[in-house]
Amino acid sequence: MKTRRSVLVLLILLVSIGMLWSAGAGEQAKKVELVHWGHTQPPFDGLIARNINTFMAENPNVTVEYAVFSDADLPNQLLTAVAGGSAPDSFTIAGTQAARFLEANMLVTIDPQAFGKNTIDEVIAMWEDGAFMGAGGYFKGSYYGIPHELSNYCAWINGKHMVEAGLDPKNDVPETWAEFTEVGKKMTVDVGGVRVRNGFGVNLKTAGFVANIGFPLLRQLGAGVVDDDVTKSLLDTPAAVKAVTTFTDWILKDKIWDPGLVNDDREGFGNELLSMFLTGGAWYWGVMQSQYPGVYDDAIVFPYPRFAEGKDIGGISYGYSTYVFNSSKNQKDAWRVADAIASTPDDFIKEGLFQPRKGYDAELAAASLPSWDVFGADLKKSTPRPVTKHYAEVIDIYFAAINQIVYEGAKVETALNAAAKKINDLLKN
Amino acid sequence: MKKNSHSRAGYFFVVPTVILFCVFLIFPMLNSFRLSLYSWNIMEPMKWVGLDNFKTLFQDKEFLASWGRTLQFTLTSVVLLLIVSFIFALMLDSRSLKSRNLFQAVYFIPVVLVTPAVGVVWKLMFQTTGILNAGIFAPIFGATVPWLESQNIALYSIMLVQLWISSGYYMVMFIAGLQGIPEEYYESAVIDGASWFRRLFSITIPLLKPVFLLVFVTSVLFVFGQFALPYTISQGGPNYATELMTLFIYRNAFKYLKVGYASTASIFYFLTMIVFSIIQIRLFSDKKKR
Repeated sequence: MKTRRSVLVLLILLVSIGMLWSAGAGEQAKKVELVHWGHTQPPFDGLIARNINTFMAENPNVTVEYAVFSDADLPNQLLTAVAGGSAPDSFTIAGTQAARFLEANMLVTIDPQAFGKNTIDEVIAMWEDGAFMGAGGYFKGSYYGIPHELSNYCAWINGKHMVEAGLDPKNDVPETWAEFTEVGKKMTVDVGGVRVRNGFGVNLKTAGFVANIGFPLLRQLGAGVVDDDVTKSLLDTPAAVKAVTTFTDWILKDKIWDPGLVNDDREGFGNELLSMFLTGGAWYWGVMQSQYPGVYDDAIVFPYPRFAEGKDIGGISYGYSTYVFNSSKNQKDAWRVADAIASTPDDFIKEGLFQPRKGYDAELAAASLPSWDVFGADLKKSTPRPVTKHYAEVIDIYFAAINQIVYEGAKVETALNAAAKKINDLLKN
Repeated sequence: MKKNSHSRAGYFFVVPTVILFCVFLIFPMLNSFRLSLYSWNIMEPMKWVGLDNFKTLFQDKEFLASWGRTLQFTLTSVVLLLIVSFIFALMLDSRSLKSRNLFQAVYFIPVVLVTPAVGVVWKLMFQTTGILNAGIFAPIFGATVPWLESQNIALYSIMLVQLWISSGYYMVMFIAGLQGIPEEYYESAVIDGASWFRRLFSITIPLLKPVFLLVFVTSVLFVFGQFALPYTISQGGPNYATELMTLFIYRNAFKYLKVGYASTASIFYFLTMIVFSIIQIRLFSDKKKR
């Protein structure tokens, strides 16, 4: 009897221990470990880390390892990780850099359930209109990336230079490209036959900046380096010839831009070697404040000029999105992390970046993001950059055409036709 | 027995270096031969293309232009380096020159500077507002030079920097050579009434031939592989006018992710270097035979 009781107690004990152990094992099985990579950008590193920590506190079974790399290194780090079979679960990267992963079918489309939604349209509705296109999350009819940050280029002019040139900073800010050229001529300064100030300038040593200005100019006239679906080039069109002629004439005919005066246009504007430039986002106010305080008070932001007969389209919009690799074993949780990272748009705004998630405090944006009235309004009319794995080659071909016109004296039409053919051949592959 | 154990110890000591050499040099080199037969963008599986990359390469005008440009850059720079560093060596070896050690140190300083930093500084100096234009050409000639904006000038601008950064190094080699020439030769020549030029061409240059060869070999290797200067100064522009082979390979491998194609270009780069090396080995062999 005593033995039976002992056996029974022992059995009960064993069963209890077994149940407890299996429950623990079950708990362990639910443990999820994720890796998220991004580009370092203080103070946002801290902000993102905070959001991830909050997520982990709310989801104790999920551990997220967050690593940052320099913006320039991140694409190569990702490529190396992919080649080595150790890609992170999710990552945040510039939209144009994501294209190579998208075209290689390495990323998954957004999982609406991770956002507590039933359809992708409901997820899209969580962000401002055009945010997915602008930040590079949209690709060939599907949505792959959650907008992380969105920015756009507007035009900048030095009000003090305007006054020196006899212009009124309130009424003479150019609205069309023809006015832009005329204002540029008036602000250009030569001393003894030597150029000391450009009316306008851009970095003519880097394909990216030349393309960033080319995209809106072309689109305003209905042309493009490539079409919206990235299937063919629209450079072999009369509209493209007109847009590119406008651009190259600033050097060749109008003489408002001597490319040798200064390499970096943002630096040139800060050092008063340029009176106007076109590659500054809202963040440039901060750059001026810290590096070029002498120009800060004189700088005026205005929307990209338009062609008198062209479309109402502004400068490029660009941004970063958060994506999830299809190699991730916990894709839904990875999307939940992406959601958490982007969940505090006001915190982004306070630090000077625009996270275009709906529900952000518009008054805070107006107070925290200088010239938000101009940037915000033009952002809605902005030009997204094409998302293609051939992006670097496409803009290099466009850049080479501009170089041929400027440096070799090639005819605009001839250079653009050759560029269009090259781009079309490239896109066929 | 003792000799064998010494041999084993020798092998033991060289093994780490051999391993590192194989892992970081031999294997990547052999692998690039393999990659040249594939189309690969790192992310997707490699696709066998056989010799297609080679066919494309030899029809690629941009590549052929960059190859020709690299030869032009190398040969011109090397000839200029030989002349300039030799002239500096002659000047600074002169016993009548006061503070020659100071001058030698000053000319040698660019050698120890970091090349990309030198490139960035020269890029600023080449601007219209830079010291060359604003400080020299504009005040004196009333005009500026488009150092990096002219397709015809940009490559020579980079050669100028190349010359500035490396002539001090080769100057030291020449000075060492000059100091090895016995003074008696010159004294005898002076007694015989030989002029300075006669002494230069009949004594100095013939006796410095091994140094000239050494400078030629090392400078060809150094200049042919130049990447940092054109990358930091002009990024290959304007209109690819300063794109050397190293930049072409970099552009295709890391911007376009055409790893197979870039490997093919690397092989051609390697073969060109082999040809240079054979010429140089022959030159040295001729010297030894004599």
